[in-house]
Amino acid sequence: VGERLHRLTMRGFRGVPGEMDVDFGAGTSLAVYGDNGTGKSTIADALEWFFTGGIELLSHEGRQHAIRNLSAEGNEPTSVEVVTSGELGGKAVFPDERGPDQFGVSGRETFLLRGRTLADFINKTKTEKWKALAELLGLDAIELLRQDLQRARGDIKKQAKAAEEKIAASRRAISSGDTVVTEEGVLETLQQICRALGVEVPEALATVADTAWIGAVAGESAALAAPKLEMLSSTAAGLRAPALDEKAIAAWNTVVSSEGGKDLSLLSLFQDADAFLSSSPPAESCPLCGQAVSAGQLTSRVRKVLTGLLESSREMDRIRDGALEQRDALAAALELRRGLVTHAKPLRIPLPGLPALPDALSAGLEGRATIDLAALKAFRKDLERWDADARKAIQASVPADAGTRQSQLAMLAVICEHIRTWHSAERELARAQKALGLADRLYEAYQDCQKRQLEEMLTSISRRVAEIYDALHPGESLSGITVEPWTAKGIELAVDFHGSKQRPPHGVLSESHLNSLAIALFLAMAQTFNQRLRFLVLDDVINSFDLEHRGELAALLAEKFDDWQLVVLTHDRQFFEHLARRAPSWKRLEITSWSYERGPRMTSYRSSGILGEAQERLTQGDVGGAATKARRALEELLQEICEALAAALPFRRGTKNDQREIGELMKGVRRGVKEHAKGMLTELEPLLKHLEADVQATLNVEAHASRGRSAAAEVEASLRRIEQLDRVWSCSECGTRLWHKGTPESSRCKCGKSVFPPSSRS
Amino acid sequence: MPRPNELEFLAQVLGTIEDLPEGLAERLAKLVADKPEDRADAIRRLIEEHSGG
Repeated sequence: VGERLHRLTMRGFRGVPGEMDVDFGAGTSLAVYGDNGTGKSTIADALEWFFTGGIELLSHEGRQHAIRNLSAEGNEPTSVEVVTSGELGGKAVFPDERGPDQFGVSGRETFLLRGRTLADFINKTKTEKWKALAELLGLDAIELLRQDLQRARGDIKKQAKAAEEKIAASRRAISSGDTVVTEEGVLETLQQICRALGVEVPEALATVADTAWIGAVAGESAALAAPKLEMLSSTAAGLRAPALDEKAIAAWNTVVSSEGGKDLSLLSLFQDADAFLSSSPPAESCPLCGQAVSAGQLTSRVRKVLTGLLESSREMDRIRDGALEQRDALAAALELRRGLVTHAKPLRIPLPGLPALPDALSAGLEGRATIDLAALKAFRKDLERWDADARKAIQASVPADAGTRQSQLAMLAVICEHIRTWHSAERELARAQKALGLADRLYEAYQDCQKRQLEEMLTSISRRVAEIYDALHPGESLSGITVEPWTAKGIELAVDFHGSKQRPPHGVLSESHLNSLAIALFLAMAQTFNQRLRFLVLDDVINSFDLEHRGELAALLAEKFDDWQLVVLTHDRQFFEHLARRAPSWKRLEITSWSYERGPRMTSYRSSGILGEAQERLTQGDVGGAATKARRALEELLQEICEALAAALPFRRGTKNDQREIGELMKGVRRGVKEHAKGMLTELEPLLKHLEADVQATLNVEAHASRGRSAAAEVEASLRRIEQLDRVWSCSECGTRLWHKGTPESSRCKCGKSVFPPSSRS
Repeated sequence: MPRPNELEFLAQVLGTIEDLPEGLAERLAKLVADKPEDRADAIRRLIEEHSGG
């Protein structure tokens, strides 16, 4: 049994200057309603910070330190205290000194979904999705070990390759022309040279590979110096000054000279300004220059500039990579030549002084300044000159009288050195190949197991995702929803759309459907893998959901997740009302406002809903306001009835499907009732006609600013009739709707005492 | 479904490989548990040692 939340206390945290307490009772689910900007998300932020040590959305914006409320009282530390049903609770104090180990499993489990991250997940690349999933599932440690095994195997492979190259190079050096180099052939040539020189003739190549043999035959100095001179000579022969990537340098010079590039020096200033504005009281003037400007305007201007600067910064980083490659290539060329100078010194070969890499290159890259291309070209020319001079100097050190005995002995020493390298590389290759065989077996077994495990997990998740998605979109012809592995390191969501597999499903699913898919994936992962946390926080996740699917999501959460503790934060009153009706046992809170001095203001939510608000306005003497609210309540109720009865309504493009006229909705209700419960329509008709008259005469007047005025008594009567219509569709025992369970053809309330159609009552 | 643990997973993998050099499984498990700074390099050296290199 996982842990549930009992209490959350925030002090001086984010939007809370003093103390804010959220009481979850004994792990009860909670729905929080509040307009945007009232501080709902602070609850999600606090739980995320407590259980993971960070707030991802802040980190994305580079504001990960914006934890403490700037107007928090005195020296009172910023803290978040959580009481759970188990051991995961405690108190976190800012600055947070908890290490990654302290978050343990709870830091990995799925518990928070924000509306803003839904689209992000759907749009992630396959590799990013895999990374996100691997982290969630705790597969990252296993994945990191796979990467280390792969790197170890790769390094051994590189060693084998290097040994093969050494063998090939040694053979090339020994061979003359296209002759195939064999042990026997080389031994025979050596023996001929030795006979001609009148020195000891070796019987095997192993003999000459021993440095003592050549030392004894040719003398110590020749044996040592000749191979070194040969190496120096062949390296110098292969020297080439690196090509200049003039386009990369020109692109860098263009970007740093542009207006955007010049403005980048202001980036940190604007980041600070943004952080300041996010956590400071709304000001009437700019805190820097004092100009009168509204806080909203100022924040919006700063954000706009900051967004532009961040884009310029990313563009500059991309271009800098090309210029950095150029700098590295020139620096590597210089380093290679320094090595030659070092090796030439003991052989007393005087090489010329090396040119210096122009300072302007590094200075330009680090100081975001232009780079002098002419200086780079001059440096390259200097390198070419140096290479030619070095080759001449080395060549001059090679003994001129190649026919003399001394130079023949030197040549013998060079051949012996190559044979030594060849034999030693053969041994290295044999060792590396044995190790590679073992590394291959280990890696392949590991990868196979990992693939099997991933497939098993994805199958399990896919089943749940499909079930949840189906609950959100019942009766839609979409099937075969799966989460599939994609090569070794990627996953992708897939759907079967009218017989064709769509992977990813972006092409065939609307934004709302994609969001449903992401919610389904989130809920499925929590159901499948959560072991410690038995609560889920959903922060404004229904932004792109239409009214019908908001109802489906509310039903899903209330019914399929009734063994979980859910914390649902929303600014959508209809969704909140849906939840309230579907899950009467949940606690409900409303955040009514936020102020700099007091932070979010929270009250228990009155379940009377919008109709209750209309009544309240009427009591306060605001007849017009009451009429407007009553009309809205009637619209919502009619819309809900139409959805529940699956009444066909004329299609309206986009979100306008949620904004139908009352006349259209009345027709829909009549059509739906006639189809499923014809007898009920006769009883209902007088009430519907009354309500239509109310809309024309009482509820429409104020809303449309006509000259007439509704009397309080008329609005009061309208309210009673709306309540009467509401009661028709609600159970008098449990208060839930008659369509709580079932289909438009046959449904019932939660307790089962009220049914629809009425004649189906047993 | 229980979350996998890297050491248990490694043990499961090593159990599927026949004729592993003696002592390699134990040393590899210890190495993974010890979390050395450059684990890939440590694994490479271990493999080389056990392959008779």
